[in-house]
Amino acid sequence: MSFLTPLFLIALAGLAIPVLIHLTRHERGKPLRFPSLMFLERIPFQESSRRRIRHWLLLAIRLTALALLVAAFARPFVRGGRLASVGGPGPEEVVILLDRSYSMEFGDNWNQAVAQARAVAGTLRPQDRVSLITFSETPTLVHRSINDPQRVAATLDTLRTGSLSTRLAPAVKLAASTLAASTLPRQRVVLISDFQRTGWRPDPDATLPEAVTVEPVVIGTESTGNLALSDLELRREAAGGRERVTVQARLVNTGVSDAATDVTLSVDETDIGTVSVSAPAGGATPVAFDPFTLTTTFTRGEVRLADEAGLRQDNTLNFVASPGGDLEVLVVDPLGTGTSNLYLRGALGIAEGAGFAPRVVRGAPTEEQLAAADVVVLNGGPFPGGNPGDRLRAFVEGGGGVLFVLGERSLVPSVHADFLPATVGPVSGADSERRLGFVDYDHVIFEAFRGPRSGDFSRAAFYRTRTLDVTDGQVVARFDDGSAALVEGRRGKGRILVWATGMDRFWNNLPLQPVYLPFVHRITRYLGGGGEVPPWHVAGSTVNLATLADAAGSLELPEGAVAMEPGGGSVALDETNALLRLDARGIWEIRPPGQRPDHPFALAVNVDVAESDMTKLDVEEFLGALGGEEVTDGPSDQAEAAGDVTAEVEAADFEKRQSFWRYLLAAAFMLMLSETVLANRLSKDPIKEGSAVVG
Amino acid sequence: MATTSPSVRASFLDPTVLARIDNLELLARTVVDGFLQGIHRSPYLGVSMDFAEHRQYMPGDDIRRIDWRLYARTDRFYIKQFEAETNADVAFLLDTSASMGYGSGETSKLDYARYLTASLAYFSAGQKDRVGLYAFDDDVVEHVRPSGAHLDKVLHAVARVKANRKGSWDKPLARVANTFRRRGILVVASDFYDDPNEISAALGFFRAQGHDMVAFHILDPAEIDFPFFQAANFQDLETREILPVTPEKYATEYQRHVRAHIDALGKLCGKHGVDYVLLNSSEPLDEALYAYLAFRQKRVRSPR
Repeated sequence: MSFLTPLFLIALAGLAIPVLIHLTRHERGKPLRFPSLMFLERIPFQESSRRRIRHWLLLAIRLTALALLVAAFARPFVRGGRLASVGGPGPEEVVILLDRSYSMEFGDNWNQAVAQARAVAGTLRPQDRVSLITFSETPTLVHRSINDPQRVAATLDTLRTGSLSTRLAPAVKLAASTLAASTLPRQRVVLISDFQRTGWRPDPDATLPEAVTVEPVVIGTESTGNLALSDLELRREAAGGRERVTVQARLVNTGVSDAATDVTLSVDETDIGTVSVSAPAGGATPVAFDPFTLTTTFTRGEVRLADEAGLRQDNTLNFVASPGGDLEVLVVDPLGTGTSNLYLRGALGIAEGAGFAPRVVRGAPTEEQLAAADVVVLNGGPFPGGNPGDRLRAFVEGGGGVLFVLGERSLVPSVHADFLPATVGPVSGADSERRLGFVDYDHVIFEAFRGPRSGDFSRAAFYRTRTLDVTDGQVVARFDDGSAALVEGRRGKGRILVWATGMDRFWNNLPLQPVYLPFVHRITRYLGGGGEVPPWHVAGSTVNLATLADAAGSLELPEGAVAMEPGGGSVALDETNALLRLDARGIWEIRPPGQRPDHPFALAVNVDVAESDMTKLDVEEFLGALGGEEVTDGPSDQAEAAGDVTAEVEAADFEKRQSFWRYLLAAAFMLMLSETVLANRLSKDPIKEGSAVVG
Repeated sequence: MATTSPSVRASFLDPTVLARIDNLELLARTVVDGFLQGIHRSPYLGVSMDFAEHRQYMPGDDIRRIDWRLYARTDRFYIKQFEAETNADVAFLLDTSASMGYGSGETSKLDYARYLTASLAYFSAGQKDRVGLYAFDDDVVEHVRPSGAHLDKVLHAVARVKANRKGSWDKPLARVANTFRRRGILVVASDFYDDPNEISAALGFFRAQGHDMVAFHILDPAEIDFPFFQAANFQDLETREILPVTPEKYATEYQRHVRAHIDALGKLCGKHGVDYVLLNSSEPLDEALYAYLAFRQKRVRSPR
């Protein structure tokens, strides 16, 4: 038996009132007239002995009535047993949201989280149902609305932390949709997480209905002691006809005190260098290793440090690198002057590492020139007609790339007009400047400029352009008046890009902008082989293996290849688009099952270092954003407070459904009636009450 | 001594029966006649100076009462004693203090005292006594001078009195002493709630003046037995003082004090020559009448 408002039980002290009334009533009642107190006054006064209870039944009735009254106000209820199930709360739909992000591996957090989840499942009654959702960047519905807590507990035993970051909003959405499908009257979400601040981005769709009780279970405390590696970068340089790679990274210290550690670089499982690095509290220190020669495709490397106290997955950065050669770029410039292609040649000539080998020709490229070229840039001249034009078409269809930079002399023979993805129109915009209004950042050319402060194309002013009427091409960029700026067309195995303006500064000032150099590099590299293969990927990202293979050059995905996870599992690949979600840290191998080729196609995956920031989220604010029934009391003792509040809500529900207070009040009323009758009857006894005739 | 039959007692002497008779004269006649019929004795005693007995001469006796003839035969002095005349002054001192108004049953002590006074007055008047009345509380509230023709006045006065004031003995008895000078009989009916020494001293004063006195101490049975057991505030009828009492614990002590009071009164009255009779207001009047009859007979036999 529990009480919803136990403070009312203090009123039980009032049980002394009837006793006192019984003992002292003569002092307040009508005086009993007596001839003389002469003899009574001679008797020594004995206070303690004067008090004695005579009407025990009457006293018992009064005490019982008062006790029942107090108990009714204290709102009693029963949690367990048959009584609770008969009048108790109705069935409940419980959704357990369990954070599996890699930050949960900190200390004993994961074991605590699993224990909490198991405890929640253990308190469920037969009529309740439970769903289990694990989440990191994306949520996974492990069990949907089952009434088998043992099954949930068994599943919990098999779960481990992942390599992904925390994303609370998708998990909340999935919980909301799971609850929406439930018909049970009571619904509760138990959110078990370390509640990192980086895991929550306000999402208007991530809300829960008002009737849903949200029970946050905060795991762990504010952690400050963690070392992590981030910003892995490979710098390539050609030396003696071989490619040398310098590995750089940053050591991040989120602790409150300075930290020093050894950082080791290993290549193909061989340690090749170790540096001692110290990082200030709350700061970062760059780490650089001596360069090593890259000779083999898909060379695997690893940068690691020793930090047993903090998170382990952010102690290692993996990478995969393959040696690359210079792209042969054939710049066809009808003028052949130094000024007409000054910026273009300059941009291609200063590429670091696996760069470009530009070559400028004035006339139409010969067959030999095309055979040696990877990319052809038609810089302001016409699309060649006749045999040169046919050779160029064959070059593209054979896998080459052509960048058609339009100028005043850019004419397209009618026989090759269908080869271009857009029809080239007249020169326009001489009276006003335009800017790029749309850039497809999902395209390989522009994806490097997606992030903030990664390049601003809007500052480039375009004074003159050629009008493009897109036929079967894909518009990659548009001017702010809506006209196409860059159009791509796929022809055979190759690509042709049409740039509606010049690459020098006669028609625009793009060559003067910081984005010019990377833009030229990326567009050239894209045409020359698709794009670069990133040395590593962030865990949780999805890659198109076909695109990567294309970017890697002549590589083609092996027949029947599967993706071998770092942990040993395998993922079947979709043959149509070969999309692969990289949700585990380490080296992924793309190879046929059962085969073990030397240096297979591999991808390196590293965790998102943002997850290493263990700063806690304001749970109260988070719950406020979710809606639902708020059950938290502040971030400090959130777990305990949340448990208390949930218990309170549950208690209120029990009490409301059982409503024992009604019966107690009725019983108290009946007893009071009995007391009235009995007291009246007793008071009518003349001798007992000492009534007398007084003349 | 003759005895009354239970039927007579129930019919004529029971206070609960008498309480239903409004007319005090009728009540007194009923009581006295019934009582006397019950004992089969003439109510007219001592009408003449009849010889009663001889007793040995004691120094101080009137030598005129020596029976010289008996001296001649026995050579000893004997005094002749005669039945006294009964036409004496009889004054009833009726206590009407507030405490007399108490009664645990149908009859209060004052009612009982009324019946008693009326009956004795009627009885005395029948003996040709001159009856008078002093009703008093802290002063004399009703005064009927003793006279052979004042029975009606006495009865009316007795019927009028009420018990509603505090009582005392000094002042009213002083007035009685000033007005009741001729030697006679004083019949006091009271609950005697005062110091026994003071009461007996006051009554002894009258006895010293030559009056014959009989004191009827009237108590309600509740005053004697204290049958209460419900805790209550007890209020003094005269002083209005309130005292919280748990009777169970008080009863024994109270009874002991009451008994001591009664014993003290009886002893001190006897010491001063006052006849003391304790009456229970719930019991019939025959005991009082017997006591008075005995008192009168004794007075007649030993005139002062």
